[in-house]
Amino acid sequence: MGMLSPGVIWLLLFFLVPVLILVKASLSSTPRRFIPPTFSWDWSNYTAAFSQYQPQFVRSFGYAGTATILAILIGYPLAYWIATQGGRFKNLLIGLVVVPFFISYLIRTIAWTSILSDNGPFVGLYRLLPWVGSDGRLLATPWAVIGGLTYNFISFMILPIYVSLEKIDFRLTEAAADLGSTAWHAFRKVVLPLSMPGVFAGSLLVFIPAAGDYINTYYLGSAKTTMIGTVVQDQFLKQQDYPQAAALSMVLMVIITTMVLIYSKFLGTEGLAV
Amino acid sequence: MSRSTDQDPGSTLEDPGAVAGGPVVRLERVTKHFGDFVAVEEADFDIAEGEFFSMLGPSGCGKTTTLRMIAGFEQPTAGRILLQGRDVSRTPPHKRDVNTVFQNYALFPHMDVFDNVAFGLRNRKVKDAEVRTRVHEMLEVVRLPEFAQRRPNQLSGGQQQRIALARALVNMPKALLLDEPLGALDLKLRQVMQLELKRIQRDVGITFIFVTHDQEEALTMSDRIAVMTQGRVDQIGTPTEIYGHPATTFVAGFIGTANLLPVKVVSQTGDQVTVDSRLGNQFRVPAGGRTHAVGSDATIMIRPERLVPAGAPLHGGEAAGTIDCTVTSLVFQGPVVRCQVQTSTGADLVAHLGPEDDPASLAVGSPITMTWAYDGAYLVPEAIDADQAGVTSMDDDETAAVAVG
Repeated sequence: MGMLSPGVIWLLLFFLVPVLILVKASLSSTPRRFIPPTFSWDWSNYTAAFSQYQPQFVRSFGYAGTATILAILIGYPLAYWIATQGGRFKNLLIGLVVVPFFISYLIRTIAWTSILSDNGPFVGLYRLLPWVGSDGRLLATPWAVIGGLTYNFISFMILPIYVSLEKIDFRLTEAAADLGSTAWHAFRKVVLPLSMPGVFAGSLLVFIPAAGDYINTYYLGSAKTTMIGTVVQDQFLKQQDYPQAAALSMVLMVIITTMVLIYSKFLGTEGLAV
Repeated sequence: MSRSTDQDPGSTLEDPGAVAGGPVVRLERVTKHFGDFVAVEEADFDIAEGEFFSMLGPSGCGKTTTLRMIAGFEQPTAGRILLQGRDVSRTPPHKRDVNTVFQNYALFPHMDVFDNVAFGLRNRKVKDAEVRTRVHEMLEVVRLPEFAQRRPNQLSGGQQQRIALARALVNMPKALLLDEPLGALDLKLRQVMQLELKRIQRDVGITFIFVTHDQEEALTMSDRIAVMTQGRVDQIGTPTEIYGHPATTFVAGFIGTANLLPVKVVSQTGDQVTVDSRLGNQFRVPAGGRTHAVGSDATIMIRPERLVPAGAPLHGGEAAGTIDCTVTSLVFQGPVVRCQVQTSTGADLVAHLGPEDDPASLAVGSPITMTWAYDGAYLVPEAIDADQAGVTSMDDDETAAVAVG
């Protein structure tokens, strides 16, 4: 028990106490001019969370889910290529994946606004596509937000996948080939299952922060792409309606936790220990 | 079940090319380069159906590269590999009808034993019901029938070894390739597995091609052994041939312990060669079916169990020569006394003396005359330097093989 106490204190101080404060705030009355919120088992904030802000919730999970899938589709081949073909440049290449972190998240996102802007380099090419009119835009669209989320969090996908691929003994693919597998079959039956713990960890690391993000939609989106993070930020900092913001945060937390539990049932977190 | 008993192994050993239906595996002047490094040089031999064939040599001798070329993981730089008469030199591994037991077993850690063993059958779209019966049959053969639901990390090294064997054998390959499969096991288990492998090979009748650096292992299990060094095959033969009639001094020293003495050929009459010992006397040695050029340098090899003190009983004919020595050490080893002697030129020789040789009468430091029966010596047609004369390895057990490797 004695050995546990630092961990227990840490959890109490930095996890349980803030959550309790948040729960208390979420059940307080809506503040009015000169009347601060008071704790009153007021559930109206929760009903409002579902009735008023449902589109933002749906958008948040839709964008975060799409960004996670894109991050897997782009990150997995990259991590695979580095792990198998990187040779003596492996560490350099993984270093390059992390390099963007040396620049502020905010600056990187703002940089994308000029890349995607209506007079930026890509819009011209984009408008040449047959199904895009001459008034087509990249900035202020859902895909710009999803692209920003993917870009900003993809490193969290690449690193765990790389680590799990790096641990695989590639003589196993030789064994599979020896037993009659083509290269693709060996990948699907041996390498992919053994790297699933990395995909699982990476998905959590991308999905969870992406679902609560508001920076990408703020700079790359529009009023039609607001996410739940936008609302929470707005309620906390502009409306100063702490109870409503707290209730939204609680709902977000509960939904994410539930989704993670379901997800881990399918993929199995026991694999993380392998 | 056993196909290996259908044919006379003796006939295949004398002339493998003459086997009806041809050899299972044929290597035709197979050479492999890695950059400037020559890993295998003109390997050229046949492996007969149902044979237990070993490639033996120190590490880096090219035996594993040769095996990997047969499996398809490496392509020969030159030469051809034929599998039942068909050229497979450029065929990828998944299209070759051979299977491998890997040194580290390479069992799939995310599958249970059943799925591991079923992997190859399922790849060939064998029906589920047949997969089940064949997997269970094979688990019976390797004597682990109750382990189907276990994961590889729940098995001991010896059990993993058996599963790796089952996973390869269940496909009934034309040849089973084994890459030092016993290397990771401890001595006791290794000896058990040696006999097990031999039993399984007899039961299934499949050709085994076995790679090892352990000469004792190769002698125990093989029908024929190819001894390799520095990318070349020095000799191919039965364990008896290789032990008794080594083609080179390397083979003589690598298989067991050998006393080597440089000699010069004086004359040859029929199958009897007279050689000059360079110790002031001459020996008579069997020619071993060869013609030795008069005046050429050669080496005679005498195994420690054939070297005895003069006067002790000789097995296999009258004494063929004598060497005057001094006893330098006597070590009691249980069944034998290991007696080390030194010749007048300073070469150390080792004799394993049994009770009939009366080792108790010997004393360290005293002079001794060593002798051997006529067929106890073998003339190796290869010269050695005077400083290489004497016993080749100081110990019989696997530490010697490791030291060479």
